[in-house]
Amino acid sequence: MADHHFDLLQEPLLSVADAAGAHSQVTLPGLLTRLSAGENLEMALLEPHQQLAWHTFLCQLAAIALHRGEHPLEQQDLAYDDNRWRELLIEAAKADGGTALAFSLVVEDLSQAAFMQPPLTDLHALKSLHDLPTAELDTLITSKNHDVKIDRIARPMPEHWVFALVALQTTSGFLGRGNYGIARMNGGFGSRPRVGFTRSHRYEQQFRRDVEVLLRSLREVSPIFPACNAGSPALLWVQPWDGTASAPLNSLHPLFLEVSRRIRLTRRDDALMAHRGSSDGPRVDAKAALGNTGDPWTPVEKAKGAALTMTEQGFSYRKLSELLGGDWQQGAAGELLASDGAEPLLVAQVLAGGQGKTAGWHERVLLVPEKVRNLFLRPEGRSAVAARARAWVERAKLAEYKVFRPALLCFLQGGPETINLKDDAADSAVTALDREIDRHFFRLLFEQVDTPETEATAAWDEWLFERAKTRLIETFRSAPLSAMRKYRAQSQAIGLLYGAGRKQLNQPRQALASEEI
Amino acid sequence: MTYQRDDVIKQLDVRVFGANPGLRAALRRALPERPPLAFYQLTADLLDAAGLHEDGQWREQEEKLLLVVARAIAISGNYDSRGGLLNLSSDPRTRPRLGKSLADARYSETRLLQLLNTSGPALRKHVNLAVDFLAAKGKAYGTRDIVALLGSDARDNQDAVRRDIARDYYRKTKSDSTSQKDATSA
Repeated sequence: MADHHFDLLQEPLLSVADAAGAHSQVTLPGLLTRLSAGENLEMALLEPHQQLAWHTFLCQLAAIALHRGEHPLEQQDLAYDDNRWRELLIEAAKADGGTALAFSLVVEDLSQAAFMQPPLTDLHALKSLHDLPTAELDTLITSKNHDVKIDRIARPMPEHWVFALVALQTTSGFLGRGNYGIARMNGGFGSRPRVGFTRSHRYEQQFRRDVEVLLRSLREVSPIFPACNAGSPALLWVQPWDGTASAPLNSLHPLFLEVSRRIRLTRRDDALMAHRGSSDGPRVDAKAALGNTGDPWTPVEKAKGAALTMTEQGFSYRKLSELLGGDWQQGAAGELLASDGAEPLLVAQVLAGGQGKTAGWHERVLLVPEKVRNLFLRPEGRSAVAARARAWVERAKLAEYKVFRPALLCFLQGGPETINLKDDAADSAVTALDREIDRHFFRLLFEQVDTPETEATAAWDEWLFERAKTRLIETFRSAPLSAMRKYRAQSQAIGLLYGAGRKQLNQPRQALASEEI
Repeated sequence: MTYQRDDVIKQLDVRVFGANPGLRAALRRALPERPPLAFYQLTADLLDAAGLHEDGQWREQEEKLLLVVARAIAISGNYDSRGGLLNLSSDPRTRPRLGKSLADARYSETRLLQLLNTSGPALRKHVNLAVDFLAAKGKAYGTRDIVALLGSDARDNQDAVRRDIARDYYRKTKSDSTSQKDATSA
């Protein structure tokens, strides 16, 4: 076998921490063994923005290996030992024309695949050289170096390269000519989200649940991959890629693991170097799919058939309410299972992107109470919750823009005859109110889920109004205003708030403070 | 026993209205920080019964508040020429609100703001001045806002009470201004 280094199948290169916080190193088969056996552990050196990429990669890899190893798709028990997982991984690579070398970080024979690195003929075709797994190899675009620093890993371990490669190859967007994005996003400036239910915060529970879901999804023929079978190309890094040809999407395994870049690691003394090259097109020809690749974690907008693209707004209450509704087709992981437990979690993660920029790592985890979970298990129940969520989002918008904002502007402008509604002085306060609504929205929605509609709406309206009033009064104390105009501005603003509250949110008339003494 | 100011004020209201003209005159002449004997005649047993003990720390503060209120009631002018009560059954809560009365009497905005922006002894003095102004203009007023204003002084709800008074004032001045414009254009 060719010279190779940092073999994930044999060398314990991956750092994990157990429930007690004790760290250890494991091989890749060892990691799969411990996770599939239900051991409570987590990846110790994974950066936050790499979580999504690593989780989806590991689940897809495990599911592909099990599928190819003829593991029964309905069998929930994944508990194989190290040797069996090693065999499964090697067999998975062989099915795509590779060998066990496909799991080594450095393979000196360039005609053989290395881990997440396609075979190539000439290293010199890869023009850029990198000695750190950050900067140009990172999915975080940190050009201004203001927040997360570019060169934050001074002495990278092999593990850092593993995570960087997985993230880069499976979640990158379009970064200029020669740097094409993945198929699993809508357009080069999109994002690859993870939206799905899970049983627990514990990582091994999430892993086992999602692998089970992935295997289950293979029981039916996907319309996107009508001719697929266990032997359809899956580990795309194992197959040669000259940077010109693109594989047709429908020829692939539904859980295919793609690579978006031509990269090769070499070893110089004790350090690793990455040689990066460009390509004339994407690895997978999926432009027409608009990111709709049957990805288990990506919601697809039904009307457009396009994958979800997230912005810097993240998974706000507005966005999640929208995603709960019938306009979006959930991926396999987004369908709630009875085995998800009495109080499952909804996990939403994304590294939002843009044109040449990162729009932030966004993560949200919602606890779904049992009474809501029971509704979610029925399509009509889920629709009802989604409909109420949408209605509540509209009420929140009324509270922010028709009740709070005009009253606040009245105060900030000193109680004028005519309020200038184009004034942006209130914008930051409206945003702050919106963030507060975001913090409480789902808790209140779920608490009221079995309350009749009228009563629930009334409770929500009252809560919104009280928050708007509290914030308005806080502004009275904090915003500068001349003493001459203070009480005029305050009284007019409060009057406006109550008037708008009556009209928009059915709130009672203003009670006088003197009547409360 | 929890002190209930509202109950004490209601009883004080009745007592002032029912008091002889001399006693009411003594109240009208009272200086802010120097209660006349007549005041104690009206309030001492009320406060004892309401649970504010003589040697308690709140008694003196409450007496200062009640002196202003008693004076305001005495000045409020709901009497006939012999000092008899014109409207014994008038519910204090239905009487005009302070802000509206001040606007009706064309109390200047500057003086209103002085009233609203002060506290402590200065507040009591400005309340007396406002009450004198209203009486001089023959404007009726209720004591509820006065009680609220004095009672909320230096408390969490002081701004809310002042806003209410300001709201009533500005609402009346705006309404008068609109009426004037309508009359002029007609």
